[in-house]
Parts: sequence; structure tokens; C-alpha cells
Amino acid sequence: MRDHFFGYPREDGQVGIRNHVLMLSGTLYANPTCERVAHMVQNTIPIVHPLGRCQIAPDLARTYKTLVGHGLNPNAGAVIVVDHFKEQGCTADDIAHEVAKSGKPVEVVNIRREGGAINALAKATNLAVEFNRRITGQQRQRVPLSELIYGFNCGTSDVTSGLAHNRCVGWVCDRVIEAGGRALGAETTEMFGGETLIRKKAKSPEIAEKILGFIRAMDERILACGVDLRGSQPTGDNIAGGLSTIEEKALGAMQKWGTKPIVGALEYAERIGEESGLWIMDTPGHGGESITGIAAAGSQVMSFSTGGGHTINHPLMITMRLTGNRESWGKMQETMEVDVSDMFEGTLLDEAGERLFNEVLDNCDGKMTKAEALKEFNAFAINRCGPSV
Amino acid sequence: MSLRALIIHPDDNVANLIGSGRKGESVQCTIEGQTATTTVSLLDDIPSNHKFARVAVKAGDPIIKYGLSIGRASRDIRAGQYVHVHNIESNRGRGDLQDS
Repeated sequence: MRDHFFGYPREDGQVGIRNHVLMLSGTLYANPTCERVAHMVQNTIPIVHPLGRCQIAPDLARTYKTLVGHGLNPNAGAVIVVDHFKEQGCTADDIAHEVAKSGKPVEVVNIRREGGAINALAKATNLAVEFNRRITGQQRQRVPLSELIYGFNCGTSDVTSGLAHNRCVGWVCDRVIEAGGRALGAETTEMFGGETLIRKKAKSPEIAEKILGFIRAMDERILACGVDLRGSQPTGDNIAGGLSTIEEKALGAMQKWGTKPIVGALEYAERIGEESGLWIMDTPGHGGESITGIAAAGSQVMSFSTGGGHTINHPLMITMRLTGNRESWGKMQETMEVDVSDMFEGTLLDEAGERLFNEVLDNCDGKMTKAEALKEFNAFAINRCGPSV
Repeated sequence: MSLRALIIHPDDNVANLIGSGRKGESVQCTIEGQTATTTVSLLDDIPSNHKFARVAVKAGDPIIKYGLSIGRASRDIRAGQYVHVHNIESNRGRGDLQDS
């Protein structure tokens, strides 16, 4: 079993597994500049989104925290924050100021300050070339597995999820934690019905209570929209697929959590703490929003386990996909990395789990995932709690 | 070839059939990671990957999967019977019924 990977140690102590220049859009009106620069300049990744303007204060704070978290994510070797005007509470200057504390090169390009979109594009392009020249001489170094923050998530679940691929993710979580690393899961809506296991796994009653609070708050927010999520779970599809109760569905999803105690609970997009162990973040089940929160926490790599197959891929946090459903593997393997459907033919968890573990560590060492090679950058989405204003 | 089932945890009283099965067929049941095998005869048709009881469960007793309760039996269930919404119920809300 490998106990190390080859990454890029950062000045702030984090370790990246990629060394990209990040084009970080502060607001939707700066998106085209970020995308154009990323088209023109190699090794340059765009983070674009429809937010950053006319948001209520708690939502703007969430956008800000998410963007700062991405700037701080160690897979970014340098960051260019592009802004259009100035949104109090979420300015490019403030984002850059926070990200610069990591010691990595950071610059701001403000479209208005530069005298328009074309001038801003020229400036940002020059900066991206210069930053690439500055950071691409850095060499990967051998670091212990304890430096890994292993994110995980699931989507399009079916009856194979709890029996096969989710358990492989849990197996990898256990190995990462045994090596002194951290694992980070999320998806509050998947926890409805799993309260007993949360109480059992939490290191302290306070941590359990915090996570149960996430569930209650999610329940209330959904009820306020006139929808009773509990009353509709499991869904008709789930029942047709063989899931009988909300507990069975939740416990299947929570097979991803492995067997180690929960050492901390995080708000959406909150930076993860130092303690080795399993961490849980409050996110919706929405895959893009959930994995974006995990990337903002500092996770370098993530496994996305899926029954139906998936293309989901975060632009900065390396996302690799697995399934235990042979039919889905057949249909969707262009964007899937690991097939564990042989668990239904007698392959034991230890063997399938190690297959996933090895692929994850290969990805850490630089092996591209399929969706990464395809530039399938589809899953940056910031969660919000209120309306636009 | 006889049918097989996945049993995740030694405490589980239900098993997930691999593929689908017909009433009267026998299923080899092996708890993952162990070598001992028991044989259960199916008393119902089982849709692909759905659950059956590998031991008898009394009405009101917990249904155990992953080593944890996923609900309780709403009637007596014999070993080999199909286990789903018709004979188990959540300890919480359930989608196709009104919350009690």
C-alpha cells in the first residue's frame, strides 16, 4: 500500500497535485475574460459562475468564501482574479488579499480600471503567460499520504451504490485516515434517515449535534418552499430500484463514510481543520454545489461514486468517477475511471477498494482523469440560501 | 449455476440478491469476507438486486442491513421471502404512505 504521493508543496503548508494558473472570476460579468485567457494560455483553468452581484449579504459572503477557498486550493499555483466593477463584500481586491496570504503569486485585473474588456483581456493574458513561466519550473516532491484531503461525493445513486462503489470510497477514506490524512464528505440531503449512524460515528456529542442541526435546517428550508422532502423519500425510482426506507437509502449513501469517527463538521465552503479524520460539510445533494464546497475547503482530489454514470468534474479539484453498475460503465466509461461491478461476482471489498485507492493516488501523482483530459469543466457551482436582489 | 447474494454485515437479516430470482430457486448466501455458506430457498420472485430475508423475522423486529436498522418488519417474514415496502416500514416517513 502506497504511503505517499508526488505533489507541489506550497508556502502555506498545503500540497497541490496540479500546478495550474487559476483564472478566478469575481462576478458573472468577468466570466468571458477568464474563459478567453484559459483558451489562449496553456495550463490555465477558468472558474466562472453566475453570482457575485445583487446577492443578499449571507449569499454574497458564501460566494466570497467559496472564491477565496478556490484561490487558496493548493492545486492552483498562481491566481488571477478578474472583476468587472466593485461589489462591496466580494471585491477582487479582497479576494486577492486573502489568497495572497498563502504566498502564491496573485494579481487582480479589474475590467473597468483597465479601460474595458479588451484591455483587461490583454493584461490578464500577459499575466497568465508570466505566471505559467514562474510556476512551471516547480518540481513535484514526494510527500506523505497524510497531506491528502480526500473529498468524496455521490450522484445518480441506485441499488448498486450502497452495495459496491460507495463502500469502496469508504475503504479509501479509512486508508487515508490511517495514514494521518483527512477525508471530507458532504450532502446533507443524503443524511436524512442516517441520524443514528451520525450519533454513533461523531467523535463528540457536539459534532453530532452540529450535523443533525444541518439536517434540521435543510429540512426546514425545504419545507418553507412547500415541499416535504422526508415525505417523498425514498422516491418512486428508489423504491422501484429496491430501496425500501429512507434509512436504507441514507445508510447506503453513508457507506462512503468508512468506519472512522467524524472529527469535525464544516459550514458550506469552510476551510477544513488540521485534525486527521473524517470531516463532514453542510451542502445540498446537488453534485456541482456540493463538490465546489469541498474544493473550497482545500481538497485536492475527489472520488465521485455513481450508479447511473456521470460526467461531473470540478475544474480545479481533480475529480475521478467510479461505478459498481456494469451497464453504466458500458454506457458512460468515456468519463469514468474505475469499474467495481465485479463486486457482484465475488470480488471482495479489499480488492475493489485497493483498485480505487491506486487510481486516486495515480491521479494525485499527475495521471489525468478522463474528464480532465477532455476539459470537462462542468461542476463549479456556488450554493446559495436566498433570492437575488 | 445457483444464485448468489450480497450480505454486507454478519448481523444482517436481509440479503441483496445478485440479479433476479424466481420462487423455488436456491441462493448461496455468504457473508462478505467469510467462507461459510448457507442456502436459502426463495419463497417469492425477487426483482434484480432486491432484498430477501435470509432468516425469519418477526413482526415489529428490526430489519438489519449494513449492520444497522433500516426499519422494522410490519408482519412476520419467513426466510426466503421478498423484503420490501409491503412487509417492512421505516421508523421515519415513507414516500408512498402518509407520515404517521
